[in-house]
Amino acid sequence: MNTLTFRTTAWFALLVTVTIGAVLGVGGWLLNRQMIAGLELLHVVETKELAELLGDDPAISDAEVRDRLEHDVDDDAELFLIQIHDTNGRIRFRSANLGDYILPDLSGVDLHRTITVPGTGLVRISESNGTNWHIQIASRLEPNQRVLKEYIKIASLLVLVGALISVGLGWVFSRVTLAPIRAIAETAGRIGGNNLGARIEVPPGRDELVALTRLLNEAFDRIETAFGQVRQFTADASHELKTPLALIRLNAEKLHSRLEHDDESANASAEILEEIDQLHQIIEHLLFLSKADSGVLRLELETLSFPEWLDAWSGDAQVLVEDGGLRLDLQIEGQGPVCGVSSLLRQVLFNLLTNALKFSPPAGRISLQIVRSSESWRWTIEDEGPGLPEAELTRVFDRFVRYERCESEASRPGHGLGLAICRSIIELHQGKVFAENRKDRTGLRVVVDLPVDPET
Amino acid sequence: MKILVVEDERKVGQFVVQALTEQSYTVRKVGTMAAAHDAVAESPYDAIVLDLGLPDGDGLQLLKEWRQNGFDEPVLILSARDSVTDRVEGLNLGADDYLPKPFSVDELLARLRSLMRRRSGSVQVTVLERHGLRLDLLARELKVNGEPVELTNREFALLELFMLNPGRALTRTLIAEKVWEAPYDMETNLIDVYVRRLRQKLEGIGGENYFKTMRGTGYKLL
Repeated sequence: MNTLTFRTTAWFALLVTVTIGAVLGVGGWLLNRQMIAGLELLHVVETKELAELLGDDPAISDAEVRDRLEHDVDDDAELFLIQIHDTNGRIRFRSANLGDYILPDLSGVDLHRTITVPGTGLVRISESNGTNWHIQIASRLEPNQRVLKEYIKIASLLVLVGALISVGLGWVFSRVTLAPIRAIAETAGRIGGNNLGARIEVPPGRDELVALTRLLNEAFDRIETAFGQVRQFTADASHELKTPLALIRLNAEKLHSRLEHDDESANASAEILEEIDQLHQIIEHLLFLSKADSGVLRLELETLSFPEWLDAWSGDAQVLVEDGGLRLDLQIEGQGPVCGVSSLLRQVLFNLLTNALKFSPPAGRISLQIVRSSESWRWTIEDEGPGLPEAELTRVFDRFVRYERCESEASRPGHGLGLAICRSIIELHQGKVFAENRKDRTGLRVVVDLPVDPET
Repeated sequence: MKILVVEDERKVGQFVVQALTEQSYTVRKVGTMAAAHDAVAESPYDAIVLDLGLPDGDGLQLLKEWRQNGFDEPVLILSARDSVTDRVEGLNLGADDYLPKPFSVDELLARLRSLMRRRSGSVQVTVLERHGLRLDLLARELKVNGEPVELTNREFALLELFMLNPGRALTRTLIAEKVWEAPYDMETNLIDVYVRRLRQKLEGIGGENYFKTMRGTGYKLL
């Protein structure tokens, strides 16, 4: 949205500035032409005057020519450079202000031309080819250039001011025109998994924005229905799966208590009970993942102070690892809150530790580092197991992916959803999780990045 | 002791009723919101077991009504919904406990007992004793056959839970909730690790078998 405001402003300012520049440029050109046309008109008048003074007889002597013209030429010495030759091309008169310079003969080329006269600068020269005399009159362009220079100065200033004003106007303009779109974006942003009932207010009128708003609202209606269906489905699935499971469990318990004297039967019924728990857990995990995926999960977020939150669990982590005959190197650095669900984050911590335990050879070492960087808390969990083939590193967080870690591993096998749940939880907390092989030795490193709550 | 069971699944209801009757509770079972509403209006109960998905509405609605009308019977929600948030919602609406389906009858009984004990405000026990174990809750001390034994906070809380429910099977769900105040997560075997450690500590000193592993259920203090 900001970039659109920016782009609109930039385009508006650019167009306005270019237009002002072009108009002023054309104005300058016209001014210059007007001034030159003025000069040429003066030249015509002066030519007429000189022609009258010279008379019709080309045979008069140079002294006579000078005599006839001198008075008038001296009067206009500031204005005109004058040179006269006869039809044979012989120069008959040159005004004193020309110095040594001889104006070029333009007969047959054009009537007016701009040339440079050494010591005088640019001049506009006009030539009138009468029957007896060719009268050339030139005027300095220096005053014109001065006027033009002033004009350019003022015009540039105007363009600059225009550019600044147009940026301001463009900003206001784009803010005003984009305001409804911003309002739409704001409302749309607020409509999430927990707040699907909100709708964008339809502005009055019948323009494109109204149509867009209507379309978006209709899309939200459909999304709300879809979310509702997912919620209903998971609730139904939950109920339909768990009610029979509850009955199976209750019956198995009853059997189990009556079979206690018979070892084999007691064993079998205990196994049923254990499997029911497994099944229950899988159902829970699948429902969690499906709710998390479709965004219908309502999270009771709270602000957790780190590292205090960890203190409650670090002792348990130590016990868990030591019980596996391993050592836990725990390193916690930094301070800062995390916005999250305590029970879910705890689940991630222990799932990852349990996972590292399963990977580890006996008497190994597990390292857990929880270190704050500027924007996130990084959890790094390293084991000394065999690690994973490179190709499997990205798949390890997928659903129902299981690895045989140690052949000696005898404990209860996981169902391959633990790490998928971890990733889902981390992503619900706007975090990231990935696995890599250790570079310093064999072993797997799992890294979790959890954003620090920015509001505090 | 009178207990009202609100459960629309006939067979599940039967199991609950039977288990409670065996424990000599007086039980009344209803299957709809309307019937539950009438039952509570008619006479007081010592506890209510409430299923959420009822044919004529949501049990949470019923709970809300009861709390608004000043009925303060202890309510245990028995539900097939089990996300963390459903649980929080139930407790926020005034439920006293929440047990997800599938559940173990033992666990239901343990929770109901603890609910009613809390309500009746029975005399606060400060010292728990059993088989040579003496747990002083105020001094936070354990003596095994007169010998003091050091316990970590978690171990203490765990033993306290067992000694408050002697001879009864405690499920991992219940242990996780009471000792860790967190939902039970099957992926880690933290509870088993703690019970094993506690067991080793006590049996190393007392030389007796204090705990029994109940396969498929949990643990029991003998």
